[in-house]
Amino acid sequence: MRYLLKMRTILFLFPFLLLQACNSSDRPVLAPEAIYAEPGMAIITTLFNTEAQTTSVLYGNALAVAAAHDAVGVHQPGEEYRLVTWRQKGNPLWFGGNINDSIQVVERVRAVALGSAVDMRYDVVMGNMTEAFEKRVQFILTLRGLEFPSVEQN
Amino acid sequence: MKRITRSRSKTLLLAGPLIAVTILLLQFTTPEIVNPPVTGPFAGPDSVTTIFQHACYDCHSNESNVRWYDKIAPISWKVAADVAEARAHLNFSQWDSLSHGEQLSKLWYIVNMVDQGRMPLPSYTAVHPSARVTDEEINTLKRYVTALTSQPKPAVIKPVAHTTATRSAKSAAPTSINGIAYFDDYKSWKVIASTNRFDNGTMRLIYGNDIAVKALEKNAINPWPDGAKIVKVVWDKQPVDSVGNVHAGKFNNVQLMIHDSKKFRETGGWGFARFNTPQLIPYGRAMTFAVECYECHKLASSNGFVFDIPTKE
Repeated sequence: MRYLLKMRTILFLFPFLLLQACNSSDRPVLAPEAIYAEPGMAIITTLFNTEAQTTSVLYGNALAVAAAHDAVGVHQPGEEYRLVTWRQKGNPLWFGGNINDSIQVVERVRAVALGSAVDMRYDVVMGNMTEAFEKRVQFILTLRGLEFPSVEQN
Repeated sequence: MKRITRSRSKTLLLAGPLIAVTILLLQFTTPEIVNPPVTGPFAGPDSVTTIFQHACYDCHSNESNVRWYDKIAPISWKVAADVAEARAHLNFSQWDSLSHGEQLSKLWYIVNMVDQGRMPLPSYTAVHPSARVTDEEINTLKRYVTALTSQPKPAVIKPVAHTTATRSAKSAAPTSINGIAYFDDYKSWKVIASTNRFDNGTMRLIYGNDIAVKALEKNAINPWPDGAKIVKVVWDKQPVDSVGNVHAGKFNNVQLMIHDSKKFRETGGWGFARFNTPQLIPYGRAMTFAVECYECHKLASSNGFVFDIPTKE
């Protein structure tokens, strides 16, 4: 009799246990550490690489943003850029999309005055970069500012 | 004790025939599921059509194969209602009535619904095991939609082909039909994800306000707190260059999600708005557009209806 009661309890609870099991395994584990924050900097542009399977966002301070939107491309001391590159993976919730994974490398370019010229200083803030720094500086400085919508607030 | 048992037996003896007669009478109320003519059927490769036929057609076409047990009331009421609803959402027998873009969009949605095990409905496959879709069949569907969407690579790629941005002319904030107005504040928020889509050729940056970012950090997104705001800015992709870089191109649209569990109760607590082109033309002519958004976002119910947030493998 006791055995039957136990069986009945298990049978009664089974669907709920099953539901619970499905819920816990389906829920992705969040990775807030993948969120990059750079106070005082705005976004200049974004790109991804199909061969390296990475995705990047270029941030810049006000001077860098202005230079990236300037058609002539004149640089001035004080500009600062950060190119953040993440590994990318398929979006677990949508086949057809890719999403950034963990941060791979953060590169920094700073424009400093060198006499009457502007010199570009490069360093890797986080991670590793094997490509020659001259190439990286050239690449980062060729990235142009994205078109964002804008309105006057009522 | 014996008297109680005898009384219970008597009740059961009376109830049994009563239930049988009730079920019998209910059969006269069974709705008939009519199969209207097939006007413009889905015309894909046989390997794909076969999958749709065995997994979807019973509900999502005018070729419903209603089994004898589906005709028994009260089950038949549910079956008839499900078929009517399914046909209204998607009807493979009227596939031609959709534009090419709509067909492609539906196909990607179907593949994702099947991939996540949401379709065919688990309650349906439990009774109709032949409707189950195998992993191999899911891969067939994925290959099919990917091939349909893939564009041939251009022969010559300019070294720097990305757009030179021009800021849009300033104007008053446009407002969606549900009252959500576009705002610029997100430009100072944190970017919570960077995504790109090979199903529709776009790239996105997803911003979250402080409330949204804190909710992510505390893993408190089921549900998200009221006041959480997420903004997705969408650009067209440019062609891939010689080293595999794909740059964001022209601005396409901006999408807003604002969490207010009371105000937007019917759409999972989220108020949706979308503004297309640099002129920020509000998307959706009727209030029902938000339901469309919500229906798709249900695929991300495990993330509180948000698709693009950082997760571990």
